[in-house]
Amino acid sequence: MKTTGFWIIILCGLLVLSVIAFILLKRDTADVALVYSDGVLIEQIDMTAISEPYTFTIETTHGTNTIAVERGRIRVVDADCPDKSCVKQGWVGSGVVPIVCLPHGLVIEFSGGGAPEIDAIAR
Amino acid sequence: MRMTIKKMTLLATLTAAALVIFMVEAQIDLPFIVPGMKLGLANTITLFALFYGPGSAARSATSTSTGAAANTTTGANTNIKNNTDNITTANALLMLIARILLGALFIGRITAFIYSITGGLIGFAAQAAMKKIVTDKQIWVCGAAGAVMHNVGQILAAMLITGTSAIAAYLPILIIAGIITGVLTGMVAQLAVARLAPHKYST
Repeated sequence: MKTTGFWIIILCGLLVLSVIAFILLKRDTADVALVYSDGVLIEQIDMTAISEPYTFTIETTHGTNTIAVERGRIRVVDADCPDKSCVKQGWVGSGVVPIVCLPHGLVIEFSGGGAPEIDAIAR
Repeated sequence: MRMTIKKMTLLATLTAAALVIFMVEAQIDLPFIVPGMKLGLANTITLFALFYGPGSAARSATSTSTGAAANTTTGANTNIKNNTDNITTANALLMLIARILLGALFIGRITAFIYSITGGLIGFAAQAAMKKIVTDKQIWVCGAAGAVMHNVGQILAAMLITGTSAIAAYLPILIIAGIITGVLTGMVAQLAVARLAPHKYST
């Protein structure tokens, strides 16, 4: 049996490490938004090259997501999933924290500077 | 598995309570950055079931028994430990699985079930392991460990299902959330065990 102080130190240490990781991850800025459906890249949007805001719809066997894009930011405006977590997340413009719609297997993640190498090769 | 009617009733009542908490919680949206984040209040019942059995003194009795005086207490504790009315770890696991299955049936979403069961089982494994190394005054530590591992499990499930590793970026915020919510729900379980365990053998 460890003392309570030992556990407090362990938990505080983990807390501090997570806060540091969280802050470090937030700092990234992104130029390219990548839209994945079930792990497959279906849309690649250069966030710096958008002049007019537009929306598009992604339909899969799981359901439908409507995505809006503006210069430098992106969001899910509508989804026919029950919880609508992705819609509530609102506009996202940067960072490594992606927009995720778990029921539909939809992920919108960001990539800094230009197109990612792996897709350049794949094309 | 043979069990007394008293124990079966206790397990059923706890499972029902966990299910009600789970269902109520599923209706509440927490306005946090992470989508679908929950307090994990239903875990208080799992923690309670894990710690309502033999107390920490009885759990560690075999390792601390030295001298004649300690031996007599060990004898008494062994009786408590072998009491058939005790909720075992296997019982607690069955309760958890029953709650997640029934919860998924009531909510009616298969994806929600996959995340619940993955997080639930990994969190339970962490708590069952922690149970052996914490005292009855440290149940909140066990709660934090369970909540953090539950969230890690859900992230792993999400990464596997969507095939996207970027979801791992949620890990730091979910660990922070897990520690905070886990300590709180663990405290609730700790208070419940402290209040109820002394009355366990009075019928």
